[in-house]
Amino acid sequence: MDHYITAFGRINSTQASRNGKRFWSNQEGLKLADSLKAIYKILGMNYLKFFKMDEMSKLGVLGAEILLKDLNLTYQAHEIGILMLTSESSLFTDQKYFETISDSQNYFPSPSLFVYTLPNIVMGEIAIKNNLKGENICFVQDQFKSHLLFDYANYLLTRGSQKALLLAFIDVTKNDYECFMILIENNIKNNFGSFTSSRIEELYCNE
Amino acid sequence: MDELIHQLKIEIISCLNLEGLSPEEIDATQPLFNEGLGLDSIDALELIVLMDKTYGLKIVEASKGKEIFYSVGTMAKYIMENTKS
Repeated sequence: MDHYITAFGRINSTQASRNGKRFWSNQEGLKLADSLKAIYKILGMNYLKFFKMDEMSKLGVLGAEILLKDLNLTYQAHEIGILMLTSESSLFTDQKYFETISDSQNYFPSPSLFVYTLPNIVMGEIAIKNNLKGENICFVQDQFKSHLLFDYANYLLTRGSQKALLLAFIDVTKNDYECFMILIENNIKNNFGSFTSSRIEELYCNE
Repeated sequence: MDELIHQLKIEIISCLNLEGLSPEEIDATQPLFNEGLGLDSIDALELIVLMDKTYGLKIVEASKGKEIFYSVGTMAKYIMENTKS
């Protein structure tokens, strides 16, 4: 069965886009937290739990919202899976948490930071927000690897356990951030190319 | 007491990232959990840290938590009764 890329989106420190069309530009030079808040507002979201998340989860939830917002997907919850790739893992939040325990004279471990000190929590937040109950897996790699995403996604799709997949690359560092997501479906309408490793690479690098 | 309640509301909003909520919108008698502000278990842990970090009060008996953290008012009452003036 052939599969296609039916939506893709990106958020970084300069812009946010959906299917190659920019809908937010960081003209004011906003820092990470304010950028995420600005995109949240533009997307018209009303999800107060968003504000309790760490930056990595916020980025992932916004990325998923960009893709899924106007799509009326008819799959059952367990038929949509998530594959995620990150090179920085949850280090940004790990460091924030570490600051709460590094001073023995001011030792107050933050429970709300601690719960985000794993990168796969992002997938949990995306799944909860969008009622996705399919399979999910998080890879920590040194860089974006389209062939890894393709190979594992292809395995799930051809095995038939998943009918649609959300593929994500999410990274947050002290000075930069990035979220790139694509949706894979067996739907030839309005697609952005066949689901191949080279097409993923092309969208990641050029769009 | 009123001043403490107001200060607590500001601290809770900041500590729990209650976006868009102002101190005036929190009724000191309304429940913090479930039907009130809808806080969750992680929020409860953050409130315990807040009491320790800001007021030097360690909540060691879990059974008392429900009563202490029922509302902003009960939190303020506990602080008043357990801190030196």
